[in-house]
Amino acid sequence: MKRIYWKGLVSVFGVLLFWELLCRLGLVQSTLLPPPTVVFDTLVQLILSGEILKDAGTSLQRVFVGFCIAAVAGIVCGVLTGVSRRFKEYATPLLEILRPIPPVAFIPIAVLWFGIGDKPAYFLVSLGAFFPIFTNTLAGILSVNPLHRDAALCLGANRRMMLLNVMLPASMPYLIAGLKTGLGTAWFCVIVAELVGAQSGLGYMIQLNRLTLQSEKVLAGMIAIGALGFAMNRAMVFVQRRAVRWQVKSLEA
Amino acid sequence: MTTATQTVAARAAAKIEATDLQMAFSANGQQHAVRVLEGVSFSVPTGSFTAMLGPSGCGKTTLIRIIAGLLTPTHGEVRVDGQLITGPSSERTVIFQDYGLFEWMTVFENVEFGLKAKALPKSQRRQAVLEYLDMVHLRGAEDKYPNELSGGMKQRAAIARALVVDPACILMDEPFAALDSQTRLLLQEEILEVWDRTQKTILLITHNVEEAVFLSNRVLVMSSQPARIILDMPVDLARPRRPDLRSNAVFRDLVDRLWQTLRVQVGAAKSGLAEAVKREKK
Repeated sequence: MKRIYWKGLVSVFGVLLFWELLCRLGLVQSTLLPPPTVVFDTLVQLILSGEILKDAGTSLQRVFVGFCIAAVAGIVCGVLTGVSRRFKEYATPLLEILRPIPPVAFIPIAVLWFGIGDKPAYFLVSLGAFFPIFTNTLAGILSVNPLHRDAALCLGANRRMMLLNVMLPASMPYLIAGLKTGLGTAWFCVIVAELVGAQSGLGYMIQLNRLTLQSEKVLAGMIAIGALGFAMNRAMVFVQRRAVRWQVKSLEA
Repeated sequence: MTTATQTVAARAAAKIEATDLQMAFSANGQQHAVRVLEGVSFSVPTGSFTAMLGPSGCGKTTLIRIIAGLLTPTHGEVRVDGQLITGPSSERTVIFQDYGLFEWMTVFENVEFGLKAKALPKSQRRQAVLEYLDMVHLRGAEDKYPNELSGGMKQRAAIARALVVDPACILMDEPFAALDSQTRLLLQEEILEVWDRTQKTILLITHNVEEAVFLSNRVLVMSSQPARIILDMPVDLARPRRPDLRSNAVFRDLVDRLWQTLRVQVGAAKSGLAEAVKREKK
């Protein structure tokens, strides 16, 4: 474990060093590719001035709202499709038509419908995060061992207990995996939405700084986007460990 | 053979009464292509321990699923204390070969499940769960998850879970088949203790002749598919039954006689399988 960690650091710092040297030796134009030290410096200044925190907050808030909508809709639709044949027959063709359209392709129509700002971002984020959450929830429900259903029925479980105490916990490993993928997609979608359909947020910030040729700010913004995406993924891994503790324990045993 | 079936069906004052059960499944788009049960009738008296013996794959599990209410027979009916069975209920709990424990719940929560379904208050639930965990010698393991338990402990938890809801009868579907032989013998004795204490009606399904004789007051033998009941043999061995019973001459004699009946069916099941394979190849 420790060795992998070290090797990772070596390659990261190797690339940074190479990049710094390219700039210092004047092999690249520093207006296009400023050295990492300058980018880092810019990032620190942006944080200290609070400028980038505001944009990050805006983006996070959009992801949060959109992701929550997607989580509720995705889990509800996934469960219904898994347990109700009728719902499945009504919903599947519709969802299969919508699924192959990338969320990004909805940007023009989203801007037309919702204008510029939070609303198109909510729309795109929830759309993007919906499908991974939906498909994983469905896979989870379908993976429930029939033996567990039989056992619950023979112990007198009603529909509510069957759903809340059997079906949902049994599909939890899939469900959490879906939420994790969904959050990743949500972050991706919010940045894209802000690039074209917003006047705030990290996506807008890097786009604006491109227009003013402040490439060190563009790169600083990109680093912030990456760092926040990484942090969200780690948070989900933490949630995953907690939620499926019974599974983790079995792996350790 | 027919006479045996008739005498079985004639018994009165039954807790579980199955009448002319037939079950056929469709296969390859053909309705009722696979006939699993054909006219199975029997009755299990209140508080008795009855074993159902049959060759592997003869439809024993289908039968127990029908009695549990998990499966609707193509024809015939099951009554418990005169009540027609239309669906599953905690009046008839099942102990499965593969335990069926909820892996995401602790042992305590697993046993508590049926009591929650009955909407019992928490303090009562706790008391009952601990009492039954005591009975199956699982006290101290209540906070463990099923995946942390051995096979024997898992089945003990499943037994406690099936008992705690105070069912009218307990259906056991090859409950010891997945266990190693030592654990199997130990659990057989424990089941007898539990039966002694609770006086539940128990229907045990097994392919193991010794197990059937050791545990039950009566053994019903099923034929190979499509299954009927071809023998009804009382087991008049004294209780409590101790492990040394297995070397008793009367015990050995019963086992031999049952095995003689069963081996014909096992052979029939095998040749039936061979024919089916031949047909598939064509």
